[in-house]
Amino acid sequence: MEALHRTTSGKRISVGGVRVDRRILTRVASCLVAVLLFTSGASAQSFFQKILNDIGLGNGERPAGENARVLDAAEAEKKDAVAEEEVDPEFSNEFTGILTQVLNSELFYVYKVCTPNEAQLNSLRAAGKLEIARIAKEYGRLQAKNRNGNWAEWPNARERIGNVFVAILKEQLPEETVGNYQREMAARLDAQRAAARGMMMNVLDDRVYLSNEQAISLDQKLSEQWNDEWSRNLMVFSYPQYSPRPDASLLKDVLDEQQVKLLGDMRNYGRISFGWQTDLGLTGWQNLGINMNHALLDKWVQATEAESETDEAAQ
Amino acid sequence: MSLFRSSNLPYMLSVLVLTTALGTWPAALLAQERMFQMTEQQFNSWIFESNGFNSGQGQTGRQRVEVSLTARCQQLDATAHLDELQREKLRLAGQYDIQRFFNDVDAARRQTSMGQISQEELNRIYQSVQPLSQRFQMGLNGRGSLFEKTIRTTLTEEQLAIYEAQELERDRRRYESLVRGSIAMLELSMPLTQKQREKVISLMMEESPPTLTFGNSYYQLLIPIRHMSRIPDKKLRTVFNDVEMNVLKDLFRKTQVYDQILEQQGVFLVDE
Repeated sequence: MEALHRTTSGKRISVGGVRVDRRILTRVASCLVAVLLFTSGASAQSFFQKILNDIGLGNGERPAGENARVLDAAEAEKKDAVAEEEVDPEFSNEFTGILTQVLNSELFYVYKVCTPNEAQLNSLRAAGKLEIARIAKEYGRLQAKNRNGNWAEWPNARERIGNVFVAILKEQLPEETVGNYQREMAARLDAQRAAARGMMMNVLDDRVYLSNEQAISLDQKLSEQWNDEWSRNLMVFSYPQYSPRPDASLLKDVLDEQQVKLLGDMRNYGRISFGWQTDLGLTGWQNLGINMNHALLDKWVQATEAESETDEAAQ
Repeated sequence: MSLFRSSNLPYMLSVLVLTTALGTWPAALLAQERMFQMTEQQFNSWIFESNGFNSGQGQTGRQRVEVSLTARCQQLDATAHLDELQREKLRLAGQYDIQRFFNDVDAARRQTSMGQISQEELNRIYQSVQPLSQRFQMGLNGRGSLFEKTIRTTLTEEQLAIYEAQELERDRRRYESLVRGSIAMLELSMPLTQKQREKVISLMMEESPPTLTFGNSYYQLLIPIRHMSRIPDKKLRTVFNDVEMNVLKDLFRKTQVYDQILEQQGVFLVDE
């Protein structure tokens, strides 16, 4: 450091034989440090974020939009081992609202098909509430284990609620009524599959112009080899780049070579997420005001009872 | 080193604070004046990629429309038994529609500034290619095309009847899929019995289905809902009870705003 040393007065230093005021040099050096920091990309946000993360107060690599706290692998494993009843409500509360809407719509459905009396309806409602509490916990645990997106692992809430209803109805209503309800549930599931199949065919038709004969054969083939994962969320068919597609082997039997090739060339970005509610097929037009809430069902029950009382009186 | 003497610390600290402030402030300024790289690939992706074609791999969707045209001609030939002259006329007319579209795409591409452009210019280009993207999405040999006109002037009356029946069946099949999809969405909140489901679907298929220019649209599932909103209450009440009717009315009111968007996409709904 021959070129840089203090003078006897301490006020001036010599740089490469040139005498410079110490204050000026200090400022130049500070600016150099500043430029160094600035160009190293240490923006204030990331700088302080890093400090917060290091001392355990930051949110680290938490995915955007995640509502619940994400556990690391060890924590999640530990959490999974905890008995169902002991699961932290933090991991299940966010699901309860939507599951309650599903329960209400299922109560509405069971009332429409079986017309249980008020006491029976109340017992169905109570059992349904218990069931959704269980499902919410299961969802919570799956989310805590970062299983979002692996929807096949997530329980089908509608089916579970329906099964609970069937068990109760069997004890309280005639076999025929319960049978009707089960048939209706199966028909609804089939209708959901048929709707998804039709929409999938529309996506293919947009690309390769299916003849009417091809459409009939393809519908048949798809129905034979249907995967229920394809019909969970119908919204996805409005986004052809993300919509599920059947295997080429299935298409080969129905379409010509050129059509198969063209479909094979079609870009597919894989999965798109509309949020767990929609991905799991739990919500439909709720955001547009369709919500069969408790009050609506009560209103219907009262109207039906009043109607039957009037009929009885008339008789 | 003397540079880090205690007397210099306040000064150093103030420089650090200033640096961190400068670290975020210029970034915000830079974001405002950010420049974008406009490439031919980007241009193609705006027209074709939203329709599922990987323009990055040189696909521009031309293959799709050509395959679609061939399939249409083949289907027509198989059912209406075209002669050689008719086949050739239709092929040429279809090719003309395709070529005209791709000429328009080329013209738009030539007018597009490539390279570094501002956000404003980027938005302008994006807006200017949207009509092309929509044309592609709606199909190049559909309603109003030369292909369609040639069909009407080239086919015999008998062949035309076969063609129209075929197209009608295709439109019906496609619209029924949408109706079933829309009803299935409705059922996630308001489940229907089998009888109600079939009744409302057949009611909608019978009652003046909307004129559609097919092609996927983000709002396609709302089309049947808007269609249903135009069916007289009296008819809907044969399917739905009072509670359900109130829920539906609410849905109709809230989806009214989509009528204009759908019309822009070539969906014309008819009031009953």
